[in-house]
Amino acid sequence: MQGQTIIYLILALGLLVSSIASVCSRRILRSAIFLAVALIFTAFLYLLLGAELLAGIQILLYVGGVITLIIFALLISEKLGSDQSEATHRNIIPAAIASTVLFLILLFFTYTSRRISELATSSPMGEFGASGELSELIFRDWVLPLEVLSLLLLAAIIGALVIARREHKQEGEQ
Amino acid sequence: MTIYHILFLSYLVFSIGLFGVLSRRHVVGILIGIELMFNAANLAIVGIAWTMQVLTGQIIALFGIAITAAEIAVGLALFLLAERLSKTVYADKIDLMKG
Repeated sequence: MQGQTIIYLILALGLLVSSIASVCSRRILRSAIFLAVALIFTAFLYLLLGAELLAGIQILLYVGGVITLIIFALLISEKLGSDQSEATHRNIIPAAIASTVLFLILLFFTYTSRRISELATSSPMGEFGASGELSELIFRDWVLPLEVLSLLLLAAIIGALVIARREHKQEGEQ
Repeated sequence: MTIYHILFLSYLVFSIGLFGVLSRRHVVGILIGIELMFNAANLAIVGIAWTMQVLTGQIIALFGIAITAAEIAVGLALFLLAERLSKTVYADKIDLMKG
């Protein structure tokens, strides 16, 4: 139990530091890399919580897919790192106040909630080997949401292609 | 390690992401903040599923990750389009809908 807490503390520290670096970094490409580091730390936290399938999917889909997409989009866009002198942040103080207030509100409702304090009395160990059960559950009880999700992904692919396409044809006609 | 630890960490990351969304000028910076917030929400869901010993929470987190992938693809396509049309990457300078 003690070892679990120590691992949790290390992972939490890494996650917080990389999140703050990702939000505050002046170079946007560096910010994307720090986001990848934060997502990998979260994947290890999932492992600690006994969700090994989710950890794998997190690394595959987030770090492999989403970060690659973000970096590609940044490299395609032409204004990358053109003027370093320009401010990268605005309204820092109102944003800090708003996020701190949100954090305090969430903390307040968590620590006054009786349901969560009931949950907290039991702290189960993370159990590995639930992947088989999980996939059975997905393809039996959750198969309709899964299919709807595949439709959503298809719609997103087509939508992204249509939105980002350069309109050569119309220019040629005119 | 109890559910409080996980929720506390999740709230911290969510607040950091919200700070990023509110204060960043770069459009992709805002998207990165949204990603951090999604990640924090998934972490809270998985933590609660872990405490309650149910697998449904992991399935919801799984679907959340897939939806995030779809969202980021469309968001980046919109970013490329807006960047091409308004010649800027800063969200406060994009004013395509101004008459």
